[in-house]
Amino acid sequence: MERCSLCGTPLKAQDTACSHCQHPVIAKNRLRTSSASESKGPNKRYPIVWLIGVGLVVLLALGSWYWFAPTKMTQVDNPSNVQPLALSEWSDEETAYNQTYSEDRPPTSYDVLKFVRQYTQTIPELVTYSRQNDSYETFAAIQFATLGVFKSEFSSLQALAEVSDSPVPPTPYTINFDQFRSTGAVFEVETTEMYKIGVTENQFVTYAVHYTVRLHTDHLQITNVMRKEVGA
Amino acid sequence: MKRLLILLPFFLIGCTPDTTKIQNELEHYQYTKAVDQSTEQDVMNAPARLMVQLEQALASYRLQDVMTIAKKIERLPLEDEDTVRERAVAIRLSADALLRDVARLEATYTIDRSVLDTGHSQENFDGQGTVTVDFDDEQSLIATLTYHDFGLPDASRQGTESVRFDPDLSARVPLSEGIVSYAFNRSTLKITYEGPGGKRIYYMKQEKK
Repeated sequence: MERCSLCGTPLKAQDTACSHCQHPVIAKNRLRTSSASESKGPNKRYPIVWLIGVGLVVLLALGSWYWFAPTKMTQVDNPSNVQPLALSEWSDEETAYNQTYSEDRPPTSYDVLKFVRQYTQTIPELVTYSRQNDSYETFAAIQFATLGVFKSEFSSLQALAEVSDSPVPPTPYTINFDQFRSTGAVFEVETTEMYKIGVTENQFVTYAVHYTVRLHTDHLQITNVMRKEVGA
Repeated sequence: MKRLLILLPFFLIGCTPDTTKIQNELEHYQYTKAVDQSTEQDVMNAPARLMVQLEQALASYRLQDVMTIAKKIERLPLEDEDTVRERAVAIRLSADALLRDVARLEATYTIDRSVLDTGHSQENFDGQGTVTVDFDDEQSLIATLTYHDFGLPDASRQGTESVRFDPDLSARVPLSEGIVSYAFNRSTLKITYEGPGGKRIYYMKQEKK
């Protein structure tokens, strides 16, 4: 219970002056208010400290989200977080002619395209074939195709054969896959192929080619080629 | 007539494409087979056709076309975990990474050091000149190399040359008695002339842009 600061008479809560000595209670109230405000001082700081703490936690959370979570670009364009293909899957790092397939592991459509693309790399060597001196087995092309295809290619690649012993031998330049379809077990691939036949610009031979590729036992094989020179 | 009516549902079942089989072919990345065995009305026909186009572009190294077709596939109403969509995203990411590499490598290169490797010994020699590399606008890994007094002081090289690079950013150009190979690594270019006398190797670095 509060008492009058002057005479010690007990005070009621609503008293503005002491009932005994009439000493104003307001002075004491003021004192108490000011002391109360002083004592409440540290309490008022708590919300600030609290806010700073919460702010730090939020910052930490945002920081760790930024660091560990997928980027916005990944989330939008790559929601299931797919990884890029390994280079060996789509380039010519791995040879295609000795790949074997089975019912459980059939060739993918890209395997067929890769197979044809790697075959075109063998063409500059194929055109150096000499009936007198060479056997087919020494040419990489024979591993991709039938003997019939090898022979037909040798005769239809005359433009390249003519420059095969020049200082700069022909090299594959571009291969463009124009059409690709399959009917049953047969794949039909149409390409436009450019071969470079010199060091300067515009020295090219271009062919429009139609390949027929089959799964022969357990590996791919080119069984027919129709090649037509379309420009030089 | 009655018999025909009874058999009609079986005929219809026979004519309907086997969606399980098509789905199986899509999961095995056999897109031409999925196209072959579906009709244009089938839900998965359009994605399979686009995947065939996408793989044709990838096999031709037409990287800009790869990006365009892959984005078309990603806009189709397919599940996020759909194998067709995932394959398209994986191919787009591969092409995108390579396109960024190609853009970074377009620069002029100066000789950092040049080495003659005879097979028995290695010695430095004074190589000179610069090479400017520009990749084609169609983004199909064809680079134009412009030589500015490049090579040996008494036999320097001028002019341009078109070189088709592989996706690993290397290329080999055969000569009658040897081979020239090019290889980018980060921001450096290594040009090797290999012939009967050994290898002349030029280690080149990018000029600051």
